[in-house]
Amino acid sequence: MVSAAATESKEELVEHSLKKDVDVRNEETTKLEERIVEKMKEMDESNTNTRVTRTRETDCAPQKEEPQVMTESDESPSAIEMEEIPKAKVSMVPWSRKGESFEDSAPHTEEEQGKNTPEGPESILPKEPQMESLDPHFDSLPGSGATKCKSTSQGSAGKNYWYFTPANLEKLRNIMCSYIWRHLDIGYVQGMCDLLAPLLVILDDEAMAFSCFTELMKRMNQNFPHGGAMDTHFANMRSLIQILDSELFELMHQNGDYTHFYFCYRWFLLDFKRELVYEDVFAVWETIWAAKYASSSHFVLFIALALVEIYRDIILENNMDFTDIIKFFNEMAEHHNIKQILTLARDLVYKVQMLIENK
Amino acid sequence: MQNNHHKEHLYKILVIGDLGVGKTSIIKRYVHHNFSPNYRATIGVDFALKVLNWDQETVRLQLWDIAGQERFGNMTRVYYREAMGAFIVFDVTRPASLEAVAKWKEDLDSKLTLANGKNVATVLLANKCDQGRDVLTNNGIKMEQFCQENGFVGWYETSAKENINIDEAANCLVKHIIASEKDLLQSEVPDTITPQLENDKGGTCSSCFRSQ
Repeated sequence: MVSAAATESKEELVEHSLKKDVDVRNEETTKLEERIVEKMKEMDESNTNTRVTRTRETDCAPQKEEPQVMTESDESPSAIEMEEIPKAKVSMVPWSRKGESFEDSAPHTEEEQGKNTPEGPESILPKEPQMESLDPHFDSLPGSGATKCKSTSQGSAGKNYWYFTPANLEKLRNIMCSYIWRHLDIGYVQGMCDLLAPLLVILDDEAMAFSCFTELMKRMNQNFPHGGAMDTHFANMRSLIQILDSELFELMHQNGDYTHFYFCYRWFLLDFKRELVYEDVFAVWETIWAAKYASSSHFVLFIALALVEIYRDIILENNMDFTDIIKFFNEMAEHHNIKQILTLARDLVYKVQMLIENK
Repeated sequence: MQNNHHKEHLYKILVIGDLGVGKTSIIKRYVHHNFSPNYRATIGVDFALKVLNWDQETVRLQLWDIAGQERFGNMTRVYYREAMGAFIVFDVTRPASLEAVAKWKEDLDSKLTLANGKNVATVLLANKCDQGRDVLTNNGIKMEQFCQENGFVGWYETSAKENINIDEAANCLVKHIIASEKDLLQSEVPDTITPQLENDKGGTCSSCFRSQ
């Protein structure tokens, strides 16, 4: 591996936002939550329908979100109403009540090539870039007896990403081993390779990817089982969905109560890496890193909210329970309209900011 | 394929075990009839559906492929909910994965029971048997005894790669699930009092209920 020190200045540029993000995230997450909870209490006073389950009494010294800096002013909406949230085009097809099979909306023929991942040696390191996943089949859904969705959604799933030749897989492995060597207390945890792979693909440089991955992991580590941030993410989702979409929250609560939001687990663990094709992962990750300065340091949370809200009509129409929603999002992986989701995420930041400011 | 005169069963089946033992590969072989030597860690849970014809009835198996590192914590509790059967998988080339089997079984039984209080039918899979069976022969473990002690209804040496014994293991599990389902239906005697969780008034003593 090339000396990591040599690339440090570049790394700083790339990962500049990450560093700061790490420092403030934990603190701010708590603050966000408390802020929201307080907001919920207020709403509860004026609206008896809002159920408050989280009642933390801590003083939160509500600091205002920084004024939003929008570069694309033509797109900045005024406080949008939930009714105006656009529905994803792709979403309407697979979950139509007729239950037709749907075409792969995102074919990636360049990835059709190559079973070029060799069988690795017995190893602690999974070969991450195997994009294969089980083909989930949708069986009957409650509320729409005959809904059936035969998935052809393998698409880019099912094939290796073109970048991962044996030589590049070796790089991935080197970086991963180097990282683990420096963090033996943590060791390898499944999912780490997923976080490294996009960095290696885009940087195509072992040392750079190693340095950036090390920085990235400072934030992402907390989401792994040895950290504790995952429960905070779930709690934030719970609070925000309850405020922003009480109808959906009610459905989740009544259909076996999946307001634990475990179906978002993979999203937060991997910053949506498994939900998106590589091109979209790059866009989303850069947005997350930049959003701290342009929108919100909690942008991950708002992307997650947008992912739920984009499909909220489908979730409601199909009266989904926990199994349905996990299956749904597994099946939708790599088929999301990311531009729409990012736009909605930004709008949701704005909406929550407005809620807080106009209380 | 909507044959309404056919009876249909849908069973939720868990596939659990340590990471890298081949849970996903077994499911892939069973459902999609193929095998890939490449590894991709399951994060959270994946699904697959297998449809069987069983005594002129349709049996749908909803297979829950649960990530190997998720044993602890509340998430598995949610994943286990309402399952009717389970495979616990270990890797015959890795003794530690066999040692973990008892822990997985314990975790499963502590978080999931049928309505009659019994544990769900669980089959043990000794996977990767195409790569040697050292763990099975060298450890002096008598698998039959191990299964009895740990409450497995059966065990199979399997290979997802070579397609060995996977159908057989699944059939065994389905057989036991159907039996336990009949058992459940029979135990629903009309004059049994079912205790309600929501009812805090007390009055029903669980030991009285158990003695029936």
